[in-house]
This record gives sequence, C-alpha cells and structure tokens, in this order.
Amino acid sequence: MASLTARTRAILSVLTIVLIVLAGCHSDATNAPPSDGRLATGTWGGDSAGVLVNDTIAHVHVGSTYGDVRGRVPLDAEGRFTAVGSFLLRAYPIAIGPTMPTQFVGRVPGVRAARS
Amino acid sequence: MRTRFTTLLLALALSGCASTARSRGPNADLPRSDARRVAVMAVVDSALGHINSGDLVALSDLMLPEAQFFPAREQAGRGGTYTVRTMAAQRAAGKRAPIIERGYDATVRVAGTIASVWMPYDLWAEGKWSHCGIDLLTLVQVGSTWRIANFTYTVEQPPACRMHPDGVPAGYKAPPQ
Repeated sequence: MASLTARTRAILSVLTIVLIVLAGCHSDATNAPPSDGRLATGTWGGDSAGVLVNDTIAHVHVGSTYGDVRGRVPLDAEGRFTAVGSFLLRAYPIAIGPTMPTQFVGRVPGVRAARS
Repeated sequence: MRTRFTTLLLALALSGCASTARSRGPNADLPRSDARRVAVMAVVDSALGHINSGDLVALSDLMLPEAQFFPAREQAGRGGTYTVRTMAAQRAAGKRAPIIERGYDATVRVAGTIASVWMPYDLWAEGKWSHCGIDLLTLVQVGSTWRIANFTYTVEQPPACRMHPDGVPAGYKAPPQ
C-alpha cells in the first residue's frame, strides 16, 4: 500500500504542472459566463478536463480521474481561484479509491469578479 | 497533522468553444480535445459513476425532470421490446448494490444545445458478467448546464457486442464462451 501511495503521489505531482485549458460552452461562447464573484454554475469543458458546477459542488473531470470541491468556488478580482477538494486518481472505467486531498488552482480569463 | 495537497491548475478559457463550434459541422464525431465533447462526456462519465456506485438519486440529478430511460432488448419470439423508467422513478429507487458498467469509444455529436452520445459498454454485476450493448444518450443544454434527456440502451450478448477493451475486471469471472 505504501508503494501505491508513493506512485499515486508521483503521478499527481506530474498533474500539478499540467495546464488544463477549459473552454466555456455557451452557444455564444465569445461571451464569458456571468460571474457573481464565484465560478459560474454550469457544465464546462476544455482540451482535457470538464467541470460540473452547481450551487453545492464543483465536480472536475480530468481524463479518467475526477475531483470535487464542496461549495461555490470564489474568484478573485482577476478571475483566479484556489480551492481545496478531493481527487480520485483512478475513477474510470472502475473507481478505485481512496480520494486524496487536492488543491485546485486556476483562472477564468475574461471574467472579472464583481466587487461591491 | 500535516496535510499534503496536490495542486491542479485549471484555466477557464471562455473563448475557445465558439471557434471549435464554427470549424466542425454538427455531423462530426467530436475529437477528444473538443471542449464541447469534454463537457458532455463529463456529464456522461458522472452518470456512469453514479450507476456504478448505485446512487440513483445522484444519477437523477444529472437528468432533466422529464427525462426517461429506455432499456431495449430483443426477446425470443417477440422481436424488439422495451421498458420505460422516468427520472422520478429512477430517483425514487434511491440506492442499489454497486455494479460495474464500463463505457468506451464514445461517438459524440453536438449541435447548438443538443448532444448525442453513442457509447458501447459492458456490465458486470454480482461478481460476474451480465451483458453488453450500446448506451445512447441525448443531452440538452439548459442555460449553461448539460442534462440527460434520454438514456436508451441495448441489452445484448457477444458477438452482438463486446467486452470493454480493458478485459475482465479484477476479481470477476470471464463470461462463458
């Protein structure tokens, strides 16, 4: 089990340097989604990752893996976000746990969070 | 206790989808890198995950309120038959025992706010092979969220369909030849 953990960490460390570019899929995608200072609800996709965002969770798919962030993800004034969640390295086609604590860091270009 | 975090970088580039939408016709099987395909498959993969864990409430959360399941199969002497399960019935079922359903080689088409996914699958339950077939899903984009409108699937046996390319799952018995 120790070797599996070490291997998992090694693979995940590779993931940390992967830039996953997600693209919004509104019918008019040249417009950024509305932002209330948090990651917009909806289904978003990109070259290698998809995110399902609702009012209670952001569910991130990266290849055959997935992760979850509880709650709405806040954006800073430049559209950046950092969120702590969990990640399952081997999710498909058969889920094999356990999940691992993960920090999701990203940015929504073109979105500036509303500041009151 | 010190907690180790792995950092995953995500950049949400909200202008990428329109250019890919313009460059491919609605009849094209979208490549794996297409943003719309990834978004749609995130929903489909999530649905499979909930099917496998037996969480039918979570599965129904990915569906439109009016959505329906159509299991279709051929029965000796009767030809093609089908049954119907509504989203409400699916939700009321709550939880059931986990299974293994594995989809692969999905064909994904998107036009505007509708999508179709044609995906071969195999299914294992109670420690053994059950069946294989095709999952055919129609999804509709409501606002910015993709939801399953229809989930039709065949229930067949080889050679009409085949096992997932990964082979027999660990701990399971191979299907009878």
